[in-house]
Amino acid sequence: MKAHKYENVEFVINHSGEDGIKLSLIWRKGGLYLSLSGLFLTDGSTWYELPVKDLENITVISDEPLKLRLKIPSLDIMVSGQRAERLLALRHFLLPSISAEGGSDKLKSLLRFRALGITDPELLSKLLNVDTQNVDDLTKIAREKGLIDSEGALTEAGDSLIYLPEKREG
Amino acid sequence: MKNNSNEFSSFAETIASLGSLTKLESAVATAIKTSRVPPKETRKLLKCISVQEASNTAIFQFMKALFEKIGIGQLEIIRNDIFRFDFSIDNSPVCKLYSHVKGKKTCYITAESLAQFFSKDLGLPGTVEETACHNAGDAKCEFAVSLQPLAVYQLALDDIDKTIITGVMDGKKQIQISQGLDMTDEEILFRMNILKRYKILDDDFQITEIGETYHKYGEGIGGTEEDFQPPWRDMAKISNAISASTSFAEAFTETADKEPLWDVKEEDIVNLAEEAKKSKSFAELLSKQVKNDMEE
Repeated sequence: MKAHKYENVEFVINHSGEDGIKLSLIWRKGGLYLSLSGLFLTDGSTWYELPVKDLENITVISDEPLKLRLKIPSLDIMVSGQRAERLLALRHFLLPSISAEGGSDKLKSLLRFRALGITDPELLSKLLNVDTQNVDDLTKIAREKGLIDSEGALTEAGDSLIYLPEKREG
Repeated sequence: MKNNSNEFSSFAETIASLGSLTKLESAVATAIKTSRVPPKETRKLLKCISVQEASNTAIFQFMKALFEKIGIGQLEIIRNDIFRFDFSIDNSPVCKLYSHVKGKKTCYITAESLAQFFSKDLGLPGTVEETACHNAGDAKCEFAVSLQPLAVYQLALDDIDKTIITGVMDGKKQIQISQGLDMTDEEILFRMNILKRYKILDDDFQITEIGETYHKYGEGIGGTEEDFQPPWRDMAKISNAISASTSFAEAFTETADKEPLWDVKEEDIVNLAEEAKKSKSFAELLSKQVKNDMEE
């Protein structure tokens, strides 16, 4: 099979089994290659193939240094490279071919208001411009995702979701 | 998802598209880094009532020139609400990079560039979604920028607005507030209409529940506002920075693209998706490899 070298990378393959165990393996140095059906990661001996049709998502998990998470069923593959723009370009190139990313702006807004102490469902429905049932649903989702605790206070995970990145120097 | 084994049309087209996207990524990063906008200018945009008014602001003219310089296309505002701005791009250059994709939205890089500009340069975090795309069969590409309400309230309302809100809450009449601020009746009416648009005041210019909440929780957020001079509007300086970064990206991409094609032997390939289905055996395989790596 033909492959074109795209970038020098470090990568790690995490496996999540039926019992929920995750194996966090060591980072390997190697290369990211393109084939006509997808991607290859190689450490020089084994060539790990990631067909595009099996990719479920590609997310940025860290800006500096840039790290991408490529998700396929039962596996998380983390990739880091020297040139952020090369990996970001690859992500934007592949995104239309895989499932769309979900937006959660209403959930984040709900958390921001709750962080300020605003918990009244009717007031929240006005501020979020949704009906009170939606506020209840969003609150339930926030609780299920562990973003708020049983008393409605933001958890650490909830705090980190609404954390604003520092502005860059102008 | 396509079922055929070839996801991309050809190596040449794929590599060319990735090269163009790499240049765009460099340009976006440089542009965002050099284009922070003073809050008072963002406030002018937020207070615009019509699309035409918003399109004529200095900040949008700057934004339009910036995105064109990046290579994303010509932005137009097509909707402005208090927490949402919609933009369109006719004949988007980004669309042309996805010749292998049909019937789907493709302009994720444009959406993320808008999100970064609003968040990092205007101080307005939110989410951006492509709502229409030429590659999906729509006439133009369109993007909806949904802003976080708290950040909007924090930036949109200035000290004069806060004085007006306090005056209304203290039961002062319109004329008393205008005299206290040394403003004409027209000026105070204009201000109060904007507060009405932001649902801080109701149709009778009385404080609303949202207004009370803002007064109680929102006014103190944010601290001292920064003001600074260009480069935010110095397009020549920004253009030079973008050109330098894209030239570097181009040179690097050209070198990388000259790499020869590798012939990968079938026996050396592990298909991760297939192997992951054999959950336990694959976990064992990876564990063994880690052991070997440790021993080495």
